[in-house]
Amino acid sequence: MEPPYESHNSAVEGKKLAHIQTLPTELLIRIFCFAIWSNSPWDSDIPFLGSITRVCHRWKDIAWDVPALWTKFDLSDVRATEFMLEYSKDLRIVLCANGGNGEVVFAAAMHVLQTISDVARVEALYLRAVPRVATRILSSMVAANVRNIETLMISVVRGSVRHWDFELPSIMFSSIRMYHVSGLEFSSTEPFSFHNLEELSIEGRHLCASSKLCDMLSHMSNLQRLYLRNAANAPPPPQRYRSHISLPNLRILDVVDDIRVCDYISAAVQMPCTASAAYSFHISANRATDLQYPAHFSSIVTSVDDRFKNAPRKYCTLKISDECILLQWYDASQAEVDWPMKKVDAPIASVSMYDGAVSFWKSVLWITPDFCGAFDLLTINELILECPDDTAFDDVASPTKDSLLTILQALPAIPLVRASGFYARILCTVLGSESPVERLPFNHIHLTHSPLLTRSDLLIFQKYLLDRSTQGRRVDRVFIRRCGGVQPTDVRVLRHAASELRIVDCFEDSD
Amino acid sequence: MVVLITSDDERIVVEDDIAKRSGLIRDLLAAPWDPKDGDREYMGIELPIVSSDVLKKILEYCEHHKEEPFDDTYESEDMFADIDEWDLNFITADPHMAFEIVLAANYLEIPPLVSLGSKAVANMMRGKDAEEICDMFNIEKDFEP
Repeated sequence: MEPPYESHNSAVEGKKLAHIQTLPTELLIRIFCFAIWSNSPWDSDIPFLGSITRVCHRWKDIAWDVPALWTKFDLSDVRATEFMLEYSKDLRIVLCANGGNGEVVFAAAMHVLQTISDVARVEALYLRAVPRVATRILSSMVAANVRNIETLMISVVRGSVRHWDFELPSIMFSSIRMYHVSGLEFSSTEPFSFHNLEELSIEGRHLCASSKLCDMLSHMSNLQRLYLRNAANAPPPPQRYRSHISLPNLRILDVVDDIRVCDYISAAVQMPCTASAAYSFHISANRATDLQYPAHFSSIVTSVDDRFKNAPRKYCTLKISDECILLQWYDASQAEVDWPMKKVDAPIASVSMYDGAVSFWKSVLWITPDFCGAFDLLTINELILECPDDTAFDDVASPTKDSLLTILQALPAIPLVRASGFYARILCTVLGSESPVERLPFNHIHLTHSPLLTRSDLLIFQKYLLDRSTQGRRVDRVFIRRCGGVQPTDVRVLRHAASELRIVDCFEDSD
Repeated sequence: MVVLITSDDERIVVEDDIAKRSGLIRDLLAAPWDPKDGDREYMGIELPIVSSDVLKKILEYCEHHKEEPFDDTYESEDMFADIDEWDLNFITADPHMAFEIVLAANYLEIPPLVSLGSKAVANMMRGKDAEEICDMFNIEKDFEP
């Protein structure tokens, strides 16, 4: 992106400039690119190019004379496409069409794609929410750009395409780096293998046998990111595929909802660089030994895991590495292995579902009601003493003593505690327990959303704060929001007891 | 330690590792130095277009990122990469300074900071029409389309 301009500063010397006009042209061009292209191919603000041309002479000249600004366009805008093709000169272009904008708009986009399908400088093609596939047009465009295409992303409205006979002649695609396909049955007759592919995402490979998938992976040694989703009914790999595949550069692995590969992949794929992995529904594995998470994983995201069948769920901790601890609702009662699982004898956990990450880290530990069953005061006292510095307790309704102690053993004390709901009451009680001042050195205490907090609870809390203050270890910050038991007269007392006090929505003239 | 001399003649002492986040300073420190020219640390490195306010802000950024490796991604620019929360707070804290940070980071050759500042300025103008852009940035509209 070499600007054909002299420094703008000399041209406007003597005038008082707006800050932005002091920027040299090359930086302004870069800013325009960011403003037009945004964070994803779908959010590009193409009309903004028009705005740029109407701001001032300088901006207008830049906009019209810099081909790079005109290289990415929405095919549904026929008029803009003509401009883009002309002003992008001979630079490579990026094409987008979004079926979500309506059938008519998408039809127009496909028409444009047809008219420019012989333009041989397409670097990336993004087709989203495609209601139907014009295979002929797509094949024509791809054929004209087989050496140029680096990114191909096609997402089809699920169920709208019954027959998909578009196949990439993989041996010719030397440039392709990123290939995303979703919504298709993906019944490719021949496994493709792009040797330079860095990112592969297949959503819904219902007819693509896992063996075929494994064949593909075995030829993608440069793969860095692999996403396989929504393939719950995909055929499993046969036994003979239980050999090792090597993905030496893989950094991100996401096999959520792809049951057949979930269990297989961590055991059979060598991926020494993978730090982040997402799994779920490992229901096909009956033997825990099938799932030895690689020790170098620093992050594992997973949802409900029913590997251990036919028994109520119980807690189980997985020590992934020194940096990562995972707590999951495993029913560990039938577990046969000691590592990486540690069986925890705990009562049945909450039945509520949690479909997000359930990762517990030594550095940041969140405990929510979803994970916690029965709870007693002694436990919380002990837990608080054991937690790391930046641990946040949030909405702990009723964790079990044994399960949480198991997780938190050997962790140091924390300076911050946040308690809401029932836990706010428990916290006050704990603070008022025997010799708490020495043992609970919080510097920030947040009590929130606990309308059942009683006057008695609050007085115990006040006493704790005043004891701390008397001993010269005043609490830095106290935040109380939407709690019961608080009276306006408490403000004066609490102000003496904490360096910073904030009481919100507890009584009419809250401060 | 490295002494950096700003456009308003302030001398700021910085650890080598932090100063070397700047390509310009890295190159200057790597260049041969004749002892006859005086004590290198005492002489310092003059940065005639960077004010002390802006330099301190930039050094705050460099300090925060000092552990990050100078790998391929350092020099390259990922158009679609997400902005880290700390970076976002850093660059959006003072919109006017964002321009000066971009300018200075460009001069000092700190590619990720140039990219961050450019994205921040771009975010300010996204979705705006010409009139709104002129108002926002106090640009004199010197022609009628």
